[in-house]
Amino acid sequence: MAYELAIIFVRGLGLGAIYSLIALSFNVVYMSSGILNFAQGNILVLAGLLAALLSPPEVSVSLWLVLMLVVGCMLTLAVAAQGAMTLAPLRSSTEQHSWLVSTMAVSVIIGASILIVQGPFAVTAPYPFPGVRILGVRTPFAYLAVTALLVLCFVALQLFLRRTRTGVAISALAQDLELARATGLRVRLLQVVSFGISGAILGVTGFVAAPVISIAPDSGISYILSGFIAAVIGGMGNLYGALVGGPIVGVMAMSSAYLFGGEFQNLVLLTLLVAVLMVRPQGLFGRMSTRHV
Amino acid sequence: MLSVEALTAGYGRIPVVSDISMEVEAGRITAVLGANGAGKTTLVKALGGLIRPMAGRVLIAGRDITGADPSTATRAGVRLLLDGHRVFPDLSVHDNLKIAAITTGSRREFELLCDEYFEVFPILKQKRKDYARTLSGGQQQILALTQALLCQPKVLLCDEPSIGIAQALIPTILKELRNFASRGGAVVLVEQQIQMSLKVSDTALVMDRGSIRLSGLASDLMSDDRIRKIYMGN
Repeated sequence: MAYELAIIFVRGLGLGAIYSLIALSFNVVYMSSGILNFAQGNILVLAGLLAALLSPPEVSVSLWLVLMLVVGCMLTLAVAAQGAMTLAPLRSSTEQHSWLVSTMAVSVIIGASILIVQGPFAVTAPYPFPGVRILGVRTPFAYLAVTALLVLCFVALQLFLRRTRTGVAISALAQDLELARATGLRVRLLQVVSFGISGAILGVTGFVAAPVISIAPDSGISYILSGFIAAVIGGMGNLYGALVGGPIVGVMAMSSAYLFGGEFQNLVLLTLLVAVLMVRPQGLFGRMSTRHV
Repeated sequence: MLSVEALTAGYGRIPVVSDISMEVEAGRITAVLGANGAGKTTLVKALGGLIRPMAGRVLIAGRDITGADPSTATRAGVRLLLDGHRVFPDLSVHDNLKIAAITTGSRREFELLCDEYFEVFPILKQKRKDYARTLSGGQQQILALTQALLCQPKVLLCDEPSIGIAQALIPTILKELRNFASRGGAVVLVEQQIQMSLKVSDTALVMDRGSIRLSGLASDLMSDDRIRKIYMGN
């Protein structure tokens, strides 16, 4: 029993770190534009696929680090471009909702492209680090790496949003979009930048977590679902919420798989989502806010 | 300084103000008066670039900024101060000021400019590190005004700066608008209160149902009975 509990916690927290990173990435874009980028799950999988395709079988640590930066940069640019295209037809991203369809469309396109290139099978990415033993549980090193990445991204984002002028301006967009416009902030540019940041987070996460995520054409949807639930539980637009929401979802997913079986995992998570929305719609860390209409 | 030629603007396809022509001159405060729903806010939003005009032209110092985005309009020198003492609630006073100073380059330049306004409004210096949401309505309006001034506009459009703040603070704000005008700036002051606005402004125009009904020197309009009639709907 203790061994099973250890597995649930170690793996749950590791998976949770991935969900937290997806939730962080959700939040950055949501803060600046009110848009939920539903293509994020497949963008993560795409980064994993790039890791699998680019890394040679016995990848060295230095090459691995270089490839991580390359994939990170590629997806930063790709998602920034996606953001620019998503925003282009909108006068106001908070009052018009064509992004619902356009972000979904990008998700479908990525999924279909992976299917064409790779076929319906999952691929595995080579990794330069051997597994480790935590609480007696053999754990792929990727879980540790992705947890470290979460801490790094969280701290970096906090500093960026509080200390730099661009970051403060992005937080300002989240607080009052009309005032931000009147102030003369370059709203569109800031929104595209936040899409780019989200792409960087997803790109590096997908690369670092490549050995432990499912790199298949249809797996994006489960990541988007878990990441979204993590973001909602923590409170949409709140970074602390994303940090805490991910591990909650990860551990819940692992324990429900253990107790009821893997096929009930999504049922439990969705029930959790509904329960949170009913009891505390603003999430654990979210605050109620007023909206100018 | 700011020329408006036959401007028509509104929301969606419905015009709210139509065929507005006016001249706003440097060094002067121009009051735009009118009852609720006369179209005052729509007019200044169209001038500041927040809504795109349907027809007409807006020129700042000869440069055409019709239909320009607010980020362009502010850099060209037209800055709208929104109504309702709006500031970014979850940013500190300092950060509110920092992101508003869109035209200042260096940090040093920003600090110097801030110090100037800290002398006028010491409360901002005192509360520099506090979140803007902890300020009173009047203090928020002072912060919002300073934000607008920090972008060093040529024309400042003020939408009802006296609304929702303590009466005692209104003279402080009006005095600063006068200071701005005496340094060569142009002020458009949107207000509902007739007497108070006419006292501080040089010229005034009165709007009703989307068009200008009356305009002239503020001192002349003070004794003009037609204003009251326009307000009351003839």
